[in-house]
Amino acid sequence: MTRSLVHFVNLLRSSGVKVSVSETLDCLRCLQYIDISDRAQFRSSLEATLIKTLEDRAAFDRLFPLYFEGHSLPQDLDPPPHLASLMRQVLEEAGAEDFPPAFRELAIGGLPLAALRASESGHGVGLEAMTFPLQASLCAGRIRQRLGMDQWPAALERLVGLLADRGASPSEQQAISDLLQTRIALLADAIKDQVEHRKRMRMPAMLERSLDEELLHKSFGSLTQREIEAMRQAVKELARHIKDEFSLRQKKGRGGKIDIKRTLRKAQRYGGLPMEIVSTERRRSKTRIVALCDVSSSVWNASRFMLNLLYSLQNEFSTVRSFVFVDRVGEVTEFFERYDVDVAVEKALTEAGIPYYHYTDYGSVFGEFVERFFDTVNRRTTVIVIGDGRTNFFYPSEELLERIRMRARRLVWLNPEPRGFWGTGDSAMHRYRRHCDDVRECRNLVQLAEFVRTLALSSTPSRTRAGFLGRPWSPRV
Amino acid sequence: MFSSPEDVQGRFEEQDYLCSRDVATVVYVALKLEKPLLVEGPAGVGKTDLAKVLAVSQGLELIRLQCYEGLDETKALYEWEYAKQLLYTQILKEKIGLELASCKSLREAVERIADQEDAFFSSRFILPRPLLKAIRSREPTVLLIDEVDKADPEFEAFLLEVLSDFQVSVPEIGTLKATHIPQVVLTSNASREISDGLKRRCVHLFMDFPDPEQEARIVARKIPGIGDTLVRQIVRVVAAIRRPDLKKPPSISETLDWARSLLILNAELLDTETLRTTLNTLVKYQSDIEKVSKELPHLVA
Repeated sequence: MTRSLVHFVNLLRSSGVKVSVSETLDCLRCLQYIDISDRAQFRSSLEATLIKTLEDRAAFDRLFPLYFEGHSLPQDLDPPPHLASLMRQVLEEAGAEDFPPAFRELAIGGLPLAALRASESGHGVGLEAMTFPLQASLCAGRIRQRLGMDQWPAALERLVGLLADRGASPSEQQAISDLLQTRIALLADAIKDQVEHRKRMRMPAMLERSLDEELLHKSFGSLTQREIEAMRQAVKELARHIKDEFSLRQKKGRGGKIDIKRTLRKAQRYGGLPMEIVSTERRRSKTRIVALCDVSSSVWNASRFMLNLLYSLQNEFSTVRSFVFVDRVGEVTEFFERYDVDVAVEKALTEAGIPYYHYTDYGSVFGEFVERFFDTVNRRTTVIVIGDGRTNFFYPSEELLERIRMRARRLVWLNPEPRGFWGTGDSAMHRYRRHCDDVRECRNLVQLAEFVRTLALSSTPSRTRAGFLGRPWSPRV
Repeated sequence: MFSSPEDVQGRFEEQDYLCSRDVATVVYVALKLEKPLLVEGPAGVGKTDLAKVLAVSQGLELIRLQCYEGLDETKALYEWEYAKQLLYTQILKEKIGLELASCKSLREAVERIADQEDAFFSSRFILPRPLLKAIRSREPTVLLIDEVDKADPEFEAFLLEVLSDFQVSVPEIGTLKATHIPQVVLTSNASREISDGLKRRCVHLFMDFPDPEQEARIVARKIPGIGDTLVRQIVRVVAAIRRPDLKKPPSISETLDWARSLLILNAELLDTETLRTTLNTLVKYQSDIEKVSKELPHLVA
């Protein structure tokens, strides 16, 4: 049982569940206290000691049935009691060479015990190292060999003969013989089943690991639907990590000057002794974001994930207002306020009230934005434009982009195209980049997350009328 | 001490806390392994009550530490009662004066005071907070650390240290060891990822919403006098309303509140109108109420 468990833990690890040694030990210890044969208890105990996060739980739900319930044994038949005790007597008195131990177990202990023994012996035969399907039957053969199953027919005959000597009737002998033969056949099937399942298990474990790492680096344009779903999970995790990191930074950053008033007030409790010193909290203003996302077919995956990530991080920014465009601009902030992130992103990409199938025209987009939404931009805002800059040879209106930049605190452009393509064909990037504070290539989730992270973590140096300490100056103490 | 998961379930039921076998098994395992139990799940699902009923069913005292952002060591572990110390100093001013009268120099005076320091830094002047109370308790106790995900990561690191050894070092007094290892239950709403170190130290329990039959049993148990048909209707409606796109899906406590309000209104059966008027007991956010209202007729049918 120990080895089965350790093996299961290794399987979990190769599927990305980080199980530590102490957790494995806990698991082994707790098995002493529960009834292992109770499937529900066994499963609960394993889950409680090995699985600590929601993602791990999904992996556990998948792998537990594969590993532990792979081979379900049919109902075992028991011999009549007096025959069973006779059999036991005979086997105990016989020498060890006459009857191999596994055979004894099969005869006396019944099918489940023998199957457990078989699965234990499965460990040394190279099941873990299987790489080719053909090895499966080889492994099954090795297990049978280990149990000494080729000698069992002869052993069975000997047993029946001994029983006859002890006075068992021919019908009883036949009954025993049938019973044990059935058990042997079932066991052989169970072994084959087990090997097959192990083989199938190894395949998904290997597949899944490679999926995650690749996915993060895969360029947005080439994602399949299934990968998009998987990405959503990755985005959620990334958002959480960034959020945690952000709150940690915030805590460390707290530390201003001594606030005399409050310190003195607290000192009253101690008769005037300043036991506790209170500092002013340095006000850290959060960034305001305005996001303009190109949702034409070439770019819309990048936009989707950008919006997803931004909204998952809603709390870190003071306001996020987002707009989508093709050749007209539509605001989608409301979708994110009313619906859950995933649903909202879908709506933004289909229901923003702009014609989605026109040709992208950055010029008129900037024009409309300046005309209708210019007031969303002020000197505390960071404006992010996501697009490939391909404006179908329409007039680029770069001077409007310059106006936006002058008004905002920062203007950043994220381009999902590889740098080498910027400026080729109808791409007006070479014009636009002159007016941006920062232009970045943003082709996969890793680059996008890195950008959002730096966005969230940069604090706003106040550009308001600052005293020399960088704080808004006020004449009172 | 419990003898088996079934025992756990049975004794919890005596206290009117109905839980599934899985939950009982995990609680049993945590107790046997003497490890803290981390219960994660949505709000209102019975996590805090689990700790309470664990204490009551064993006849142990429950010590509760409610976590919040900004919770630090002093408020969780212990504090020196400065005010009391100052007060004593004031009162004993004369006596102190007498003690030091024979001193010839300042240094000698300071030495003399330092020798007697332990008069003022003894356990008399320590204000024990929940963690220390649990450690120093003469009887075994159940320690509930509620909403640990609301505390800062620094607090978690500190908690980790305390939970590993169950001893506290007070520099002036020494190390205080636990007489009895308390049974620790931590609850979390999973609003934030709890640090790995803490998670690994604990036995983990995911408490999710109960399935309809279990919920029906809970309602019937907690609200005697409610009719069978009504219970079944209630449970069915709640199960339908509990969708992932709601901001806050109704939990068991909301189901119970709703059932009680229906009982008060003498409703024998559920109809669309009753549902509409009592919906806000069940669903707390305006946007959620709007979403559910659209489907009201289908729910009751």
